Amino acid sequence: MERLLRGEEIPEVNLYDLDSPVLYFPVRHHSPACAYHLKQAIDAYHPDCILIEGPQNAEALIPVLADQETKAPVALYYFYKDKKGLLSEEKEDYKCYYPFLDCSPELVALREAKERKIPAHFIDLPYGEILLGTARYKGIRAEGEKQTYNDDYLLSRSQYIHLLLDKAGLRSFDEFWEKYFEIGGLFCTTEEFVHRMLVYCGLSRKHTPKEEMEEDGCLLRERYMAWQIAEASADYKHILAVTGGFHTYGLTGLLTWKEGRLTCTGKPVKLHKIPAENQGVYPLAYSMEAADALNGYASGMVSPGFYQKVWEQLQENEHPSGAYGEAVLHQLVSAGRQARKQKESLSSYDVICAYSMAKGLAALRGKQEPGLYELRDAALSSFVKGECSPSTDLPLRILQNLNTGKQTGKLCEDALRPPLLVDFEEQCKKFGLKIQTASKQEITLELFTKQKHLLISRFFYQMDFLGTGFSRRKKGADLLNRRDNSRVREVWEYGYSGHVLSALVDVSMAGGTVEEASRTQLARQFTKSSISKEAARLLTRGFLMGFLEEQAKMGAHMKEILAGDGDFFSLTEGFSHLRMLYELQELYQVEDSVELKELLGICFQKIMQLLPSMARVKDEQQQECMESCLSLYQMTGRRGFERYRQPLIDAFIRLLEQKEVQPGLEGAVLGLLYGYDSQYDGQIQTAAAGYLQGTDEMQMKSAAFLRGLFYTARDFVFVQESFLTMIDGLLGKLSVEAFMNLLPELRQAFGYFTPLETDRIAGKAAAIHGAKKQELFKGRAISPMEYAYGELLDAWALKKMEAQGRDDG
Amino acid sequence: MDNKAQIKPPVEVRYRKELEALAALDTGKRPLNWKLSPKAVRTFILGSSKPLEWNGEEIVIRKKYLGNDALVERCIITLAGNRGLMLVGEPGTAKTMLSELLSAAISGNSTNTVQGTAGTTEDMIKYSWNYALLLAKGPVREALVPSPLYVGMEQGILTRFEEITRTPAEIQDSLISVLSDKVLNVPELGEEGLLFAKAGFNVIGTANTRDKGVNEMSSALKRRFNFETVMPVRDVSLEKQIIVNEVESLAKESRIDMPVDEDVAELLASTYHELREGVSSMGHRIDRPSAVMSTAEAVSVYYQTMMTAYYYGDAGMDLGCLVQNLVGAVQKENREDMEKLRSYFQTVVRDKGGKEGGLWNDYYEARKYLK
Repeated sequence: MERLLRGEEIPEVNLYDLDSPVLYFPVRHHSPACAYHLKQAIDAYHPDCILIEGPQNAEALIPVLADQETKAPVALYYFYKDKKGLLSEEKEDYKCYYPFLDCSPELVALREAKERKIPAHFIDLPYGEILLGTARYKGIRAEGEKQTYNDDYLLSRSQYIHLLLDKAGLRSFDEFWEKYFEIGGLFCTTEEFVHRMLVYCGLSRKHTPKEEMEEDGCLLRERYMAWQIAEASADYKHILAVTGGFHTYGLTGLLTWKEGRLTCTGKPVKLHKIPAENQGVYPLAYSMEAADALNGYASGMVSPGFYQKVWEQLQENEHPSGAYGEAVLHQLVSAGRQARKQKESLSSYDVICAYSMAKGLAALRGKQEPGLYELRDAALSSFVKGECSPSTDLPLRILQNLNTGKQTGKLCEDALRPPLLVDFEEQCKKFGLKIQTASKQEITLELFTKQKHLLISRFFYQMDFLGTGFSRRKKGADLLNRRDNSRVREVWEYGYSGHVLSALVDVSMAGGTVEEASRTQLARQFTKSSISKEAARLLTRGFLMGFLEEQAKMGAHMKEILAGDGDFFSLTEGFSHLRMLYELQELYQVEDSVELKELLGICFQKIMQLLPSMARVKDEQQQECMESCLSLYQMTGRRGFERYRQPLIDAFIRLLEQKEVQPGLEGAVLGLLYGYDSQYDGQIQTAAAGYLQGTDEMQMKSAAFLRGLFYTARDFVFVQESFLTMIDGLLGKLSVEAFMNLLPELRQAFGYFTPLETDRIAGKAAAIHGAKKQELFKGRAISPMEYAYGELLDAWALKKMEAQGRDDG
Repeated sequence: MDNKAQIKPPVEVRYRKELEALAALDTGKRPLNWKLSPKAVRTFILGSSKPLEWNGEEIVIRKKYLGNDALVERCIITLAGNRGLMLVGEPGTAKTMLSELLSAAISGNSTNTVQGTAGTTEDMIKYSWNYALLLAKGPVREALVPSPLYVGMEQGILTRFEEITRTPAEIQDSLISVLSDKVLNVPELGEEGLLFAKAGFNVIGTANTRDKGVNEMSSALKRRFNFETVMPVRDVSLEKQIIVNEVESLAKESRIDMPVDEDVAELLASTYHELREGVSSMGHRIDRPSAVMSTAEAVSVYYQTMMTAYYYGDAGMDLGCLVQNLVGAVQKENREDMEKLRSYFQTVVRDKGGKEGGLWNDYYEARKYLK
């Protein structure tokens, strides 16, 4: 391995020439060793200008990043709105983060430039251009939730890495990197380190197909960066170019020295005309947690907290050796201390054993010092007592948290902030909401008496819709779930946290104000929704957020959705939402902007078409179907909806005419028809008797039938006296075994009755057999002898217990 | 020792040449009394990519423990330190094999073992007496019968303690003083009764997680050990490789001249893997049997089928016989396990037969033996 990294396979890798007008310094993002050597190189080279790989449109933010008041971790947040559809027909928005830690070489370079009062520039393409130069699903456009600008996949993904890892007996690319570059790199000179980096990156590049680099936009970016370096060479004599190691070869291949300055042999890159409002960048205070690769951020950094400790050690001590050992010891001691605070029995001796384990493993694995992997292994071996399981691995979780780090960054006072954040703060101020404190606040809103409260409620709903976690309704009408619709007061809990900030930044490209962002997001989600249930819910959310005029635009699309929706359940739920909105219009004093009445008509028509085909609904959907039928029936009883009653009854009848009807649904529908017209009692009795007297399998279904019936028409039992007698008679005819099989379902069927009703039914059933209700509760009387014995036993036990109490003092 | 006659020669005999070659070529630093340096121990267990040249021979060091390499490294370092090593895990996860390999490589002796059972007593752990000599000569060293622990301390070698949690807790606790002070007191021997452990002594315990709660270890004892949890193999191809390797060496020892059928091994590995994980490679959800579905069990199922084929059959693996042996392995503790196996065949094996045909189809046909 060492031989390999000495670069015998890669010719001409000596680029570290301190006399050269351009010094190329290859880095891996967030690497403490790279940062350390970069600092050494700056000291030795005395550059008059530093060029850094970073999207150029963040140039104006360099002073913010390098400011003394700014504390890492911080990040640049880039966004691009594809309004013209240059990237895809969907005209989507794109965003990415560019995080900086104290140990990020790029940040070290910016800070050094500031200290030396020399210019520093970002030389990569602006973010939008990178996107435009990248093929879909590749590079920075790969599918994933969190995109970072400085993803190191080019170094870690090339094919030959697997062979290397196998050969070196290492578990992952990160372990390989740590062993040879982070730890090993601190034991060599800067020249050797740069040489080693170049060899490795050269090999990575050699094994990456050109087409892949083309698709990733890598070659285009290199051409642009090369042009920037060439241009700078006209003005500066000692340029330090800090770029990802993978690009160094690409850059040197494009640049030649001619007539006292560098010229680029590649074609110049023509930039698109992107309007300023479609592309932007903001600085953000970041957190270690967000920077940890383990949390789904592909920043190429695992355990930033641990490497932060290493970096601190490197800053404190004159010599780099010992930094890793010290950091490992520090983490072990801290983890032990925290574990003890949480009542874990970890002694100092455990820490000593763990440290010696880490050192032993490092020696066995041929590392100069223990690193992250030895730290984790040592804790696993020495801190976990017993089988490693969620009940014993608390020390490992503590260590993991320490390795991630808790630090959050801070921006200097005059840093630019996304307008959405500014608007959020202004809104809070306007409404008198407290966001300076970390604790949760509670507020009660009188929606219909105070206009301001209605506005606050809408603001809270908007913040909730944006997924910020800022506000949560504790009490009040729950229109989304159609519960407690008539409540006039709302109680909200709200609180400001780091999460609110990051969530707002995440959606900041959707609009400059909370309201605008919510509108954009709502419109987007609404366009995407394809089923009535979802679309109607969104309409309700829009209603809650106060976007009434938005609803008018949604009406047309809603009609399309309704027409295309063939799902009975989605339609019935959609119908309920629409009906609720219709009814609330009066209460909230708003006009019917969506033509709700018409939508309701379309929706109802669709439901009536589908209802008969629900006859053979699956057992698991039986309850849901029964609920839908009941709710439709109830709805058609309300004022303004009477005209729907008759079509519904007709649909019910058509349903029952089907060849095979799910017994529960049959019961439920018959119950509803009975409610409409008591003449259906005969049909109910026949159906019930048919099930109970049927073949074995049908008999089993009788309970389901009764369940359905009682769900919609409980009173049938009380009104139709003969029904109970019939049921009783038929049950009496069942064999004991058949009855026992049926019992669990029967219990459920009778479970719809209230205790008082059950009592009444039991009384009636008892009467059929010539007994009185009261007799059901009567048992055999206790004889005086038994009573006396019980008393005796009590007294004896009491005495024993007293004696025991005396003995125990 | 004539190992030809032995059913299972100890590791140090089986791999004598490898150990000798490693010792001769070992340049690493050795802890006191270790036969090999930690690096060479690692090579012995995890194999080396290039064969060693020694005594004019090329000696291939094969990988003997397939699984977690980092775990092996941690075990080696633990044994060089002050604490004992406790291997815990499901039955059949090669804990014993690993402890034998470690003992053979470090001390050249893998047989210095206490077998923990419910009947293990303190004198089996510490020492007992040859009563004839005791009566004749009184309490002298000659009359003392040393336990494996005693031997380990006296000679500076590793002592293995198998199935430690099968042993009553109070008996387990007799290890505490030995592990912390590295001294064993034999009061009967008077002033000469203090046995100080020589360098190189340490204890490797194994404990079965299925026995958890039978005799839970005291926290005082736990503190004297570094714990390593040995997980079942999660990779089907690795599991197949283990079956092939193990069956090959078993067959060699029993002089069964029959090649291992890799396809059948893979089929068995998939079955065990899927039943253990509760989900098939095609995504079926499977009820997990309560019986132990370890790789060791899979090896034994394969080996039994192989023996049947070798002695009674036409030297080809018969899937019917394999299924019968599988039934024997699964139907141990719970009658419901049989139902679970049956439904595994009715769903997963059927669908795989339909999709892949061939062996899986034959396997499905053999379901008639699921009785």
